[in-house]
Amino acid sequence: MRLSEPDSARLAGTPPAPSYLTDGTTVMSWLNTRDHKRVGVMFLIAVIAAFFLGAIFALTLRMKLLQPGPFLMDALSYNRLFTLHGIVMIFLFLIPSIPSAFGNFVLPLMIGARDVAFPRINLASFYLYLAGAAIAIYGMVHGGADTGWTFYTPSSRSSSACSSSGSRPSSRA
Amino acid sequence: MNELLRRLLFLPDQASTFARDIDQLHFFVILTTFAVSTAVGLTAIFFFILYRRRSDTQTTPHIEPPVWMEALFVIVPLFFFLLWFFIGFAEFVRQQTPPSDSMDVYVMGKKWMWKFAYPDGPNAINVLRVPAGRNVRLLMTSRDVIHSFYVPEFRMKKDVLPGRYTDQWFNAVEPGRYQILCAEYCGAGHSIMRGEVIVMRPQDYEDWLASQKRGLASRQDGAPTLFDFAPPLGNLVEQGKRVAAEQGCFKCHSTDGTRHIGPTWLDLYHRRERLNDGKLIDADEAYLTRSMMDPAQEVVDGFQPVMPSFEGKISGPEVAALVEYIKSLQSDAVRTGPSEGPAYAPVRTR
Ligand code: HEC
Ligand SMILES: [Cu+2]
Repeated sequence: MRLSEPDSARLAGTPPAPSYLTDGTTVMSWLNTRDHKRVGVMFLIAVIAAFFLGAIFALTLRMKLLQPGPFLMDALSYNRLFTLHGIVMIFLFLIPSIPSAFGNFVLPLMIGARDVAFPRINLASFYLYLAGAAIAIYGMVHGGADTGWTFYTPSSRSSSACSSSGSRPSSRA
Repeated sequence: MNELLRRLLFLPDQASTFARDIDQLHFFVILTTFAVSTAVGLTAIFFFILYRRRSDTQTTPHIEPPVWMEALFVIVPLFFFLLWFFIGFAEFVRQQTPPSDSMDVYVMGKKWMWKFAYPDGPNAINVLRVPAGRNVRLLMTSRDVIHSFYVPEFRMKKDVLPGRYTDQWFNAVEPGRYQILCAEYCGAGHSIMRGEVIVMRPQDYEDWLASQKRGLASRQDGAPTLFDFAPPLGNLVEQGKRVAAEQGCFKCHSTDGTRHIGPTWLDLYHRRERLNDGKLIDADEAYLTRSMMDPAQEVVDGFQPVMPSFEGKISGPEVAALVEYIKSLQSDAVRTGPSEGPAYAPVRTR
């Protein structure tokens, strides 16, 4: 293996940039930040919160399984709960976790950029995530979908939560 | 080794001819990935310590690996993944190709039960009886939503879809009782959508079949029993003929080999049919069903796409009956006795 000269010598003269942790300590300095690392950290906190929410649902599901038959909740609530668990874990935790939290934090460092290309849009994406999460959870709790997060038809079409007209699908086969 | 790993991983018994091969591939994959990921993890920890930052201004050196090393890191994993793919693909093809001597059982999934119909025998709900050591082909369809027919001991799982047939074959080695589970979430009763495969010694199976046929004959004029809410309707082939007449199939299809508006049904089953895009297909159950549900999709060469779709017009059991009828139209018909009715009554939904 060929090792090139370490460039520590070149960097030795420049003063280190202020740490993203000490560059402003008020709440507003975080909520209004354009620093990719701070946005990444805020995403990390948000997705971890979503993860815990999903985990609470999961633990409730497992608790129900302590005993067969109706225990703690009936079949419909169980199905709604695992749908809620699935949606929170997939759409609010799994999908945003890697690109939004780690992607924001480390990707600009890895490619040597100062920040992401559009820092304001980057911050806006965080607030959009929060709004989207709130709408998703409200819709789920309010409507009570029991289809699983994959929403397979034709099963999902016959779910009470998904057919607005209340019509059942034609069972043809 | 096989048995030890099976127990270590808490896998169920290996009760079909596929089970061992599938498990062997499974063990090969997980042992390899387990060994490699452990090695990668340990190397990462070792490097963390070896190359830790020793001073504030230290930066990492730029490392360029030689080409052969990069090639090694690409080719070795690629080799393993392709190997697994080919082993898995061969196994998949084997599972998808029922041997020609297999016995057929019709399966219908429905919220929330499994119904079985033997072309030459009785019907059953949630209990599938098969002889050990025989190839059995399941022709499966669903009445409502997507289900999945899963027998863990046989390492066999296949989706069961409405408006379409899927098939699946197996050969159970040991007499015994094995659980059937539904492996596709299908609503409130999904968890109780269970059945049982009872694998019998061949002689016991024949005895059971004979007794069932006697029972069917005597029960047909008696009062229906609890498990009889779909009384047998007699001969599947006869039924298919009736449905074909009712639906007007004979306006366009002949059964004596003459060409009409549509192709003849004589010897249609397993005919190598040329489509208008030049493709050669095998007229199996799935194709016959597709031809009724979506005729414009595959148009036979030399014919106009004028056949209307019968989707929604004929029910699953009627399709099964039509398919059995078309299968019976062989110029050198070997079929001896007529087959008995399916487990389900052809319920007209509209
Ligand atoms: C209006 C005339 C018409 C009627 C009625 C009709 N068909 Fe057809 N059918 C055709 C034509 C034309 C083709 C060939 C073109 C194609 O494949 O779509 C065909 C093809 C088929 C095929 C594929 C045959 C092959 O050789 O591959 C099947 C199976 C079939 N029809 C079944 C049925 C059944 C079952 C019915 C009644 C429920 C029916 N058809 C009613 C005209 C008709
Ligand atoms: Cu099911």
